[in-house]
Amino acid sequence: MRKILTVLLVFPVGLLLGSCGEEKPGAPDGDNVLTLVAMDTSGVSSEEWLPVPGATVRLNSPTFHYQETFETDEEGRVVITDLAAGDYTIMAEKINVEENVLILGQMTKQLLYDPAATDTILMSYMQTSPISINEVYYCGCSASAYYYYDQFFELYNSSSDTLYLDGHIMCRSTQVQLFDWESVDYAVAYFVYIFPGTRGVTKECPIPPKGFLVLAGDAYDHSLVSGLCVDMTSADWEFCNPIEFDYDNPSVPNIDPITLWSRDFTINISHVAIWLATGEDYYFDFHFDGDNMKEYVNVPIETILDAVEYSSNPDSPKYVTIRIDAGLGGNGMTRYSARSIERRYPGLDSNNSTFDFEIIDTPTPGYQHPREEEG
Amino acid sequence: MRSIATNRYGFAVLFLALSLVVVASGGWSNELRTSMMGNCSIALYDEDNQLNPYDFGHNPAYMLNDLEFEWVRFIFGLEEERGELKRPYDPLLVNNLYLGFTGIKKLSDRHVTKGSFAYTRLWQREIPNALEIDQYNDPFYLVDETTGDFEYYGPSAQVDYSIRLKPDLYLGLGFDYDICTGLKQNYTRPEIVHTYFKGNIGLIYEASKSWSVGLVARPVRLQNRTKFRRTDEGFDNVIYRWYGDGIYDVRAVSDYTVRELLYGVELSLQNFIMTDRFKLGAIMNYSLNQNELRYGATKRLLQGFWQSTVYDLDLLARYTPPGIPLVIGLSGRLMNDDGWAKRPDFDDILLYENPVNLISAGGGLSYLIDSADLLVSAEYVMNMYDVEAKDYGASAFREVDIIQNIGRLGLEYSILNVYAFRGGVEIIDYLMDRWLKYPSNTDLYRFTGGFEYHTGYWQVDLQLAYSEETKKDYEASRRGMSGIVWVTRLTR
Repeated sequence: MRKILTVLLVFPVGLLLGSCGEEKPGAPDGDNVLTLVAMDTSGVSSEEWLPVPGATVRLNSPTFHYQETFETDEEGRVVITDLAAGDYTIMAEKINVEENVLILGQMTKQLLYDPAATDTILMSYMQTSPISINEVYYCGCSASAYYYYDQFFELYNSSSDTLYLDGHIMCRSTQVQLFDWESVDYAVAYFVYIFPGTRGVTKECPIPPKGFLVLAGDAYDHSLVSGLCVDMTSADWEFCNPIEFDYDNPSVPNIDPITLWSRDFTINISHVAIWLATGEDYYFDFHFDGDNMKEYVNVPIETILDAVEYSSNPDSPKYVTIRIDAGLGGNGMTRYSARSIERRYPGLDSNNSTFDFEIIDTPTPGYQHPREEEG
Repeated sequence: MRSIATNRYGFAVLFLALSLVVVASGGWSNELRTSMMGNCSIALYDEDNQLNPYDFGHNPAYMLNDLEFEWVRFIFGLEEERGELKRPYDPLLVNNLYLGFTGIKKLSDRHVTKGSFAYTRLWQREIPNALEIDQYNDPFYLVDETTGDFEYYGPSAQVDYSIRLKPDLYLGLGFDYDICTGLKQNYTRPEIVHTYFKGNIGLIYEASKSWSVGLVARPVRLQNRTKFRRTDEGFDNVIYRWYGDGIYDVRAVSDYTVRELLYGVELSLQNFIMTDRFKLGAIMNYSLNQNELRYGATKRLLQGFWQSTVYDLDLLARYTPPGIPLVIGLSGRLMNDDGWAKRPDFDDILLYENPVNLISAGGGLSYLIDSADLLVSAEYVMNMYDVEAKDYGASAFREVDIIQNIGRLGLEYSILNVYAFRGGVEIIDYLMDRWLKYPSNTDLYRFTGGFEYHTGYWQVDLQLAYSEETKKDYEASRRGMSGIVWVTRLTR
């Protein structure tokens, strides 16, 4: 009998040991309800903050695939239900496309379980650079040939004056997170190429009002390689690295490197950041990249006119500070798909590429893609 | 692969494999005779369906007492089922071909061992989007944008060993091990390496001549490692990772690995009363499964967690009245399976809740008509299911509270103990799926037939089965056919 009792005792003990399972959480997912009130804090219409009716509220989550658009009611309020636990990037905007006026507010919010979350999104008129990076074509066009040399960038001048890019620099970020980007006041560039001329003195690099400027990696007719590749012979500028014996179209003026890497200005076909800066006060510096000390270029943030970071995956690490781009464009883009990313409206710059850019099926160097609602 | 289809321990897996089991049952188990007779088991006496701790309780310690003969058996089976009546990510067609052998040997009066080996090819054709060997084993799943075929190859092995430690105390040890590799034939061409291990440690104490108490512990480890590689054309793979049916993210990658790792343990306390006329088996099971999903090419980040806790009480009793060749059987079962899932990034948030409650009662009779050498077995089981699938992330809530009726009839006609012809039918009214994604109120009809032939030390068994799943007012159905051959040599 003692043995039976022993056996019978072993079972509950084993059961107890086996009960080391995790405790079931109590709060259900998907029950978050977020009430947002969009307030105009600009002081233009009134000294007091005013609710913004008819503002478009865009919600995006880097945690999972979630991209929804809502509109505020007459009281500037929007109620968003059934939100799953996660991080959300929220942008409220009201655009006058013709006048290029944008009242904007952005925030991030983490929701876990809150069936009655409320918040206010503060909107104001956005001070943006008149020159922005309008389109980035980076993903390549021929997988069989691993061909991505038809990459290009498109700049847009949203002002009503001709502007000049003399002495301005185009930069490409590192592809590692060297340190906390928010702890310094500069962005770290791996490639830097410079427009000819001297900023504020010469006028060799004009960009017309409401006009586009196309900067090609190689100003070559890439459609000869594959029908999907882009003919870049009519580009306005061409990046050229003479150290690399880079292809050089003599009829297209060059943007030359100031970094010493023997590489053309190619950008990653999946994830990297690029920016346009005035070319002031940058300096060379060494940083540890995890394996070695390498020489990079530190570009002061206040000199950066516009930056765009893109990545196929929304939860990728950031390669630049959120102060120059708070988001990641191009989520879901596949390599060698010959697609491009372009701003929803030319010059529209909320400093968040997640919201500003959309993936377009065909690159559009030198012109804006038609929007769906416009046909 | 076999473990996926027949693993009793994983209730979730059991549900998943329902449609496969419909055709396959008996094919690779030790119960081909009962399978031929419509799966009758409550009151049907069979060498491999005795009411003892080995056959009913799967306790390896009792194998020494269960053994009557040594034998070696060669097994060949081909099973196929096809039809549109299925869950969204189930294959349109499943073809399972296997070849193996199994044998039992008495090493001395004190110990006995049994071993099995099989090689299987599992072909799942026209699977829409699914990228897992077992798309429905938890609420997390991967899909791509293509419909394709998966082909799995691999061996499986089973070993059991039983030893008498003292005159009234037995120890049993055993394990099941499967490994197979599967490849989807087209983009995104995932390669899945599936490994499964289940230990089986048992004790039996014979408290008296007619009363045995048993204890079984079964640790389980299951791993599915899926690799996506850059396509030959150099394009990225685009895969969708779903967390329930409402939350997903998209990954565009060249090389990517997903690891699904399940750890589990099952503890079982067994009580058996075995007299000449009356037998009773009562098994209390407790099992805990934890399934972790890790994604990433370099770092394996934990992205999904599923846990299932099962309490299960299984009862079976048989009575043989004196003077007539009749067996009366009664069965009962109480089961509670509390499954739930979370996204580990949000540790305090419940993503999915999936409680399954079952109350089951059944009864059966087996009667031998001596004058006609005909054995008839019939039984009825009533399963009362209360199942909820609460997908909080998708705000989708499904619930069924139904009675499942199961009827079985089996016949066996014997001639001179040389030939036996068998047939059976099994009807299940309302197939159950724990995720409640199977078309509701689907019925199963399974017809079986076969024969057995003895000559000298040799015995040949053949089973043919046909099954059909149908749903009222629904044109689509799912049909299955299978053929299984056993060639057994008795060595003592």
